[in-house]
Amino acid sequence: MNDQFLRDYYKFPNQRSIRKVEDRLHLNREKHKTNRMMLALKPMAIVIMVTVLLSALLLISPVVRAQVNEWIHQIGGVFLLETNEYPGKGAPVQTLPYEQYSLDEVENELPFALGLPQWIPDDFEMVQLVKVTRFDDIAISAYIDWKTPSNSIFSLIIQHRLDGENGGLVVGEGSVQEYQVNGEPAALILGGWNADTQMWEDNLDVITLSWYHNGQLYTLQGINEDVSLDELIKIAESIR
Amino acid sequence: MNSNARAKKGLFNRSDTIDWDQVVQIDFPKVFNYFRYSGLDDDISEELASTTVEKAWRARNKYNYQKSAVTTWIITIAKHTLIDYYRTKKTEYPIDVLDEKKESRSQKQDLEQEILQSEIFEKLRKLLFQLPDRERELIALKYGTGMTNRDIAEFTGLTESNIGTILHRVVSFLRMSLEVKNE
Repeated sequence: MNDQFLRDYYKFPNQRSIRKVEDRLHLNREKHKTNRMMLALKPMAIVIMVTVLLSALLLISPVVRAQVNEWIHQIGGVFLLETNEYPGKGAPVQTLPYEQYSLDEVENELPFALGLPQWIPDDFEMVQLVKVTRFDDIAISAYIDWKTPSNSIFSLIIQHRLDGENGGLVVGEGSVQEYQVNGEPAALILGGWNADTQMWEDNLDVITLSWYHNGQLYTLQGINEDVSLDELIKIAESIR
Repeated sequence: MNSNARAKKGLFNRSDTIDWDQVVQIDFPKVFNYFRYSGLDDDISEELASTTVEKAWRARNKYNYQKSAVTTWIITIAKHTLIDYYRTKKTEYPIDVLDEKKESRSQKQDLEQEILQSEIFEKLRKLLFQLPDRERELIALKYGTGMTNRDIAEFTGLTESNIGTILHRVVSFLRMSLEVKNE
């Protein structure tokens, strides 16, 4: 087959366009590094971000929830609202007050039992104080944290609903995948909300797994550098 | 920890297995030519190729090395980028506009041979642009990205022999059309 005329049509992009692509990638990579550094410098940011996510859906009234029902779906009982609208857009960012207890004390403060992982990566160091937040008469959340080798925080958040409803997350469009934890469906979320830009960022290295266990909403959250998917599932499946 | 060991850790470290310098040096030219062999001009091809690489970067956490090679994954993104482009722009890019662009460019060429070559390429591009979608995609994959017929079969779901037949027919058609136009 004489196709030389087609082969002759092939053309290498000029150096200017290659440099342009390199620059665009370089900018993305620098921005990515900055994001990772921000997470390392402000380990509490992740926890606060989760608080915002969880509370945002909690604050949706049943009427409003019915209106946005078409955008909400469930994975294993976890409500998921996929949107590119920042939760609470325009409203000031609030840091919820929390109480701190030792692991021994916290059992007496909560109306539910804490399930703790029986396996965690060797280099994670547990923070001995458990934080508890209360959302009026709607829900109580407990935060159990581990310090990681990258100086970030890996968190287990257990949420108990006082109103009998199921809890959930507000996440970016297309960021959710379904996985299994001990044979039960769980929602895996890639990326996170950037509080500065008020946008969902797929390349924010946050990894979140959320599922129902013994009637409570369990959420594990960390950064990719600290924990892989396999490890995340292993931690989740070890919770008793 | 090396990249292989990290890759074994799971999905979320797989982005480390992508060599982005290699993407720019090797895959970007393939993607650029994928768009050119789809009948788009150099400027648009360059822009769409850049967009494709950026999309790949943003979606790097979703890349699954077990499913496909990096190049194949990026060409899949290019394919969707092209579909989006056609959906919004193709009807706004009539052939007479291509003619005007050809004339404008030709005027800038100094050497007669270059003018001739440039005109042939413009004619070829117009012909590529007007091909049916499937034929155009096969040409773009074969000559733009350098895929083998076997790779194209895996990529498109067509059989290898079917691809060979279609390509033979389309190449003959293009060659004859160019020869007729040049007479």
